[in-house]
Amino acid sequence: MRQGKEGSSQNIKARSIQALLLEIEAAATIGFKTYFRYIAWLISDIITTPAWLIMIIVPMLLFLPQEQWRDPLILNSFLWAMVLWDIVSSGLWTFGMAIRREQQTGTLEFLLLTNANRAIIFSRNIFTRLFSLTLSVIYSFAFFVFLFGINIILLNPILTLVTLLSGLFASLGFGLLYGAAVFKYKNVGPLTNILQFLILGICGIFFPVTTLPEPLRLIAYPLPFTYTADLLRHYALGTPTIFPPGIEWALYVLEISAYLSLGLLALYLVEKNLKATGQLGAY
Amino acid sequence: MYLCTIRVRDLQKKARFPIFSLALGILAKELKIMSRYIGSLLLVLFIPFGMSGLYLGVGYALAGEKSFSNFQANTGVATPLAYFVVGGVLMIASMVMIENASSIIREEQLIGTFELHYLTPNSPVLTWMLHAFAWSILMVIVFAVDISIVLATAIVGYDYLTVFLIFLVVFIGLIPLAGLGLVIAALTIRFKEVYAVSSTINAFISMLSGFYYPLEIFPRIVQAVAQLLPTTHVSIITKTLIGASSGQLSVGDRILVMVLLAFLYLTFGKTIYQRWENEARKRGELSKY
Repeated sequence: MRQGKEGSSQNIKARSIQALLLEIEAAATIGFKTYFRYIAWLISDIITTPAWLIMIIVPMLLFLPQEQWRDPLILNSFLWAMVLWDIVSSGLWTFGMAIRREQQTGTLEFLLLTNANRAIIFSRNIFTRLFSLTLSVIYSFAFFVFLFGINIILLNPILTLVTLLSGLFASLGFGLLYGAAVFKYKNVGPLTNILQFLILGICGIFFPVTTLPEPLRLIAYPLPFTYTADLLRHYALGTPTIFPPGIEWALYVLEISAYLSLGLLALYLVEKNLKATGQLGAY
Repeated sequence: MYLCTIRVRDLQKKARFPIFSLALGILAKELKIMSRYIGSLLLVLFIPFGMSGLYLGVGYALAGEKSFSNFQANTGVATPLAYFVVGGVLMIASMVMIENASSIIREEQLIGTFELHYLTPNSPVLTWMLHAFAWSILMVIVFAVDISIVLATAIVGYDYLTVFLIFLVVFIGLIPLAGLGLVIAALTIRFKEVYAVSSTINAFISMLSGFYYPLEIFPRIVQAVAQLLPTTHVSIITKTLIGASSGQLSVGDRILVMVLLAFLYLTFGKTIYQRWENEARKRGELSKY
C-alpha cells in the first residue's frame, strides 16, 4: 500500500512534468507560428537595422572629437548596448504584449479557465525572442563591421554568452512582474515605451552606471539589467565591474530569482483579485 | 416624420464650402481620437525628450565636461537639447505623416467603415490628403509644446520670430509627406497589411533626413539622394535657425525646393493612389480584407 502510494505520487510528479513540458511546447509553437506568419516584419527588421544603428549611434558620437569616432572600445560597447536594448525591450514587451493581445482578441478568459501555468502561457514570445536575439546579434555584428569598419572585441566568448543567456532570465523575471501590471491596468503601451528609455539610461546599457549620480545609482542596483550590462561589457570588452565579479554574479542571480518569484506571485495575486472583483473581462 | 424629412433634406443640401467643411470635420474627428488616447499623445510628446536624454547622458558619460564643446564643433549648435528635441519631433511627425493615411484606411477596413467613404460625395483621395493636413496641424501643436518646454528650461534663448519660422517650416515641410502617405495608402488598399513596408520607408527617411546629425557624415552620393527628401530640407532649415550651417543651399533656396518637392510628391502620390484604387475597384478588391 505504501509502495503504491509512493508509486502514485511519482506518477503524479511525472504527469505534472509532462504537462509542464506540453505547456512549454504549446507556448513555443504558438510563439513561432505567430512570428513566422509575419515574415515581412522579419525582413523589415533586417533591412532597417543599419538605418537604426546610424540613427542611434551617430548622435552619441557627436559629443566626441571626430578623431575618436572610430575608437574600437567605444564602438564595441555601443554594439553590445544595442544587443542589450533588445533584451530590455523583451522584458518589457514579452509578457505584457502576450497578455494584452489575449485581452484584445477576447481569448484571455478562456486561457484562464484552464489549469495551465500562467507564466508559461504568456511566455510564448520569449521563445521567439531567443531566436530573434541570436539573429539580431549576427546581423548587428555584420552591419557594425560594415558601417563603422571596426574589429569586434570578444575577450571571453563563453562567459559573454552565459551573461547574454542570463540576461534573458533577467528579462523573464522583469517581464513577469511587468506583465502582472499589464494584466491589472490593461493598456500600458505608452508607459512601456517611456519606461524603456528610463531603464536604458538608469541601468547603464550604453555607459557604466558608475558615471551616474548617486541617487540614480541607488535605483540602478536593484534592477537586474544593470548587472547584465556590466558583466557583458566586462567579459566582452574587459571593462571593470561595479562589484568584484563573484559578488556581482551572486547579487545578479539573487535578483533574478527574486524577480521571477515576485513576478509569479504578482501574476497569481492579480488574477485572483481580478476574478474576485469581476474585472477580468473589463477592458 | 416631419423632423425626419427635414433631416433628409438637410443631408441633400450641398455645403457652401465643401472642402473646408470636410477638412474641419476631419480635424475635429482626429482631435477627438487623439484626446481619447491620451497615453499615446503623451508618448508622442515624450519620445523626443527620451531620445535627447539618452543621447545627452551617453555623450556626457563619454566626454564629460568637453561633451558640449565637442558637440558644438561637430554641429555648430551650442545646445544639444534643442538640436535633438527639434530632430526628435521632426522624426515623429514624419513617421506619423507617412503612416497616417495607410493606418486610417486599414482601421476603417477592419471596422468595416471604409466603403462608406465611397458613398459620400467627397473624393476619397482628398479625404486622405486632408487627414494628412489635419495631422500636420496637430504635429505642429505637438512641436510647439515640446519647443516651449525646451524654452521654459531657460537653457535656450531664441526669439519668438525664430520659433514662429520653425513652426512654419515644419508645417510646410510635412505636407509633401502626404504624397508618400498616399503611396502607402495605395499599397494598403491593394495588399492590406503593409506596416512592415511603411516602417522600412520610415527608417530610411529618418536616417537620410539627418534629424539627429549633420548629413556631412555620409558620402557625397548619399547626401545627394538625401536632398530629394523634403524632410532633409525641413531638418536643415530648422537646425539653421538654431545655429547650424545651412549647407550649400541658402534657407530661401531650400524653402523653394521644399515647395517644389511638395508639388512633386503630392502629384506622384495622388497618381499612384488613384491608379491603384481604380485597379482595386475593377478587380473587386476594394472590400476584400
